Amino acid sequence: MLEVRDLRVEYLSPKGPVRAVDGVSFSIGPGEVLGLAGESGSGKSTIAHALMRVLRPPAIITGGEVLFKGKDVLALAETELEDFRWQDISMVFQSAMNSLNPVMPIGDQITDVIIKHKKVSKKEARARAAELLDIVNIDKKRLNSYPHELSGGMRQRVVIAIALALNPPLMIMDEPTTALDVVVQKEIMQQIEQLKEKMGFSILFITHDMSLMVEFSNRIAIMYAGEIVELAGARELFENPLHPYTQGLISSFPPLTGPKHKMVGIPGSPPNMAEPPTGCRFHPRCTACQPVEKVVKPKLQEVKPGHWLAYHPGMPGLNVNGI
Amino acid sequence: MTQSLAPNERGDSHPVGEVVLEVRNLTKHFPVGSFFKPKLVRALNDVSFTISRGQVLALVGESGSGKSTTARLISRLMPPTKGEIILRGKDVLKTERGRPSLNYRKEIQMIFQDPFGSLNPVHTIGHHIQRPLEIHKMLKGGNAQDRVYELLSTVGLTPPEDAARKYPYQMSGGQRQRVAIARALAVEPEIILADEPISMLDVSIRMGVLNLMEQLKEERGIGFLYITHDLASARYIGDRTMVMYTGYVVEAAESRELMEQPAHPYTQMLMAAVPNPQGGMVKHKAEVRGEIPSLTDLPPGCPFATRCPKVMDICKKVMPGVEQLSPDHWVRCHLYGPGETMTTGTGQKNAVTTAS
Repeated sequence: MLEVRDLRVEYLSPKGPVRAVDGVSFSIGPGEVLGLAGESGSGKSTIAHALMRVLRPPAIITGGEVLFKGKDVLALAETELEDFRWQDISMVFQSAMNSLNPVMPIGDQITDVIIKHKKVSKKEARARAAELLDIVNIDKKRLNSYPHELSGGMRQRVVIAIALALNPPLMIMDEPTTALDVVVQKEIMQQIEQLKEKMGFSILFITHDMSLMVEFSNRIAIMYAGEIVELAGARELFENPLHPYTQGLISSFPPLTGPKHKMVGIPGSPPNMAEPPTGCRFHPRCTACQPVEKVVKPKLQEVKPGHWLAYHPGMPGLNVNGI
Repeated sequence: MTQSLAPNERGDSHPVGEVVLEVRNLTKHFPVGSFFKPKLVRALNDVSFTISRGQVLALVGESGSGKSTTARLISRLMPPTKGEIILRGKDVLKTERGRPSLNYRKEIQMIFQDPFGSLNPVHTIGHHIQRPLEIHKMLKGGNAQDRVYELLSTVGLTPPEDAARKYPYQMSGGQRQRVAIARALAVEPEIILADEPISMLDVSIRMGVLNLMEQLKEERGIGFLYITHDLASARYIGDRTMVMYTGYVVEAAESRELMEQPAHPYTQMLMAAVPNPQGGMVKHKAEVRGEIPSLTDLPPGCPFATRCPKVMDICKKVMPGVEQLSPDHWVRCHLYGPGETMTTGTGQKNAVTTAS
């Protein structure tokens, strides 16, 4: 349904361009949840903004293709974008709790979206807004409430209701529950799951929380310094991670059950994107680093059916079966 | 990738020492509202616990549960409404009224959540570490610079000469949090209050900071109050875990026992809410619902009654007392009996005393 090929985004700075997203390719099928995991600064949110075409200078898309149902998103004109956004792809932003207008009742904020995109009367839009609140388990009477009268979890649900307003086939969720408590997070994630089953939309799910991601996604792409380093089915990736960075990420989340282990995390800190390391960008922090990694950039390739990995063929040290 | 450790090895190889800090019936109510309609935010109610030498006590709860208030009261950034803070047998609120003494501030250090806000941008890292050494006269004739380098090496900022020359903006979040730890260590404290020390750090560097805390506990016998909303990290580093809800401690036990046999319905709900990729291994599936009630008008009875899946009639009327389940595991819930009421503090004191 959505296909991204070799996407490149640069931020222009006085010291020269910073490549925040460097040749990223992935696809999302109907009804699928693709997780995009990585640390802050790895380019996750930049990809989300590029897909919605909401990047503002100094960020510019310098290359690649984004195809949505065969339509070239990067070639759409400003007027076409209005129809594209929200109708085709909607987005739940990071810290969505604060993306509501504080001086406007939530009902008006929902009807705004509907009236803007559909030729309906105010009354019909209002009825639809009430229906949407009902879908996300908020009392219809709350239509006239202001955001400050709602709790964090309810605000988040309102934002999801707005994203659902036009029944888009794809929803981008950028850290939708990061600011919420675990109990509320669980509730909202369960609700999104139910809505997805019922309405059949796909999700591009962005987070840095690997545990949440493994539980919620069908497939997961791991990003590091603007590149995808590994992409596989969620279970496969969690049980059989091949890239040293993925292994490190997974070992950064202590388990809640089972025996206690000493966990190591990843040494060092994320790279400065203005001067990314040569070769494999992870090499300064990698414990399994080979000399070739410092010079030649590894390529993302399929090492097992459905399991993609950025690596150098024939390289020892990596635990790739049959290679 | 991981080194295996026998489950009991951690506890046994480093037996917890004598009690350093004891807190009894700590309570904090904030007055809010207008003059004619005064209200109280009951942020913290009757919290009692002890921290021993080389012990990590994890304090877990949702936002608004009173975790940070606890740390702020112990660090004496604000005075409690009621309660005692006993450092090495001395009730410090009685012996040193008002501003905490230099000695108290030396023994109890704090690490804050935000490593971007807790360092002064116009001073070098070296300055940040040297200041407490001077203020607390910790140099004893030694060379300040050598001590600064030593501290920076301890927290893994090597080479220390480079680190000391840098300014906070030149460091990453994880490095800054290490600076904050080095600064706390400079005065050789007994207890470090760590308020969500890893929640603002990048995922890949969190384990590094947790392991550093673990190392300090083992090598120097520093006791930690580790405040977090993340049960998994509480289990990883905490010897004991206390679960807080609306300013009450609702359950406390040795960390493994708490997570394997959570007794309070709220703990069970928390456990069920944590994303767990291992899937299906959590035995206590509890329905997850609702949000924390307002602290200004808490319902009478158990504050969790509004969300509790196992709520009974009595829960809505009577606040449950503390019931002891095993020598080191106690819970505040009517499911396990009426419990001791805790006006005297003695009941809880006995219950919380650390088992060896």
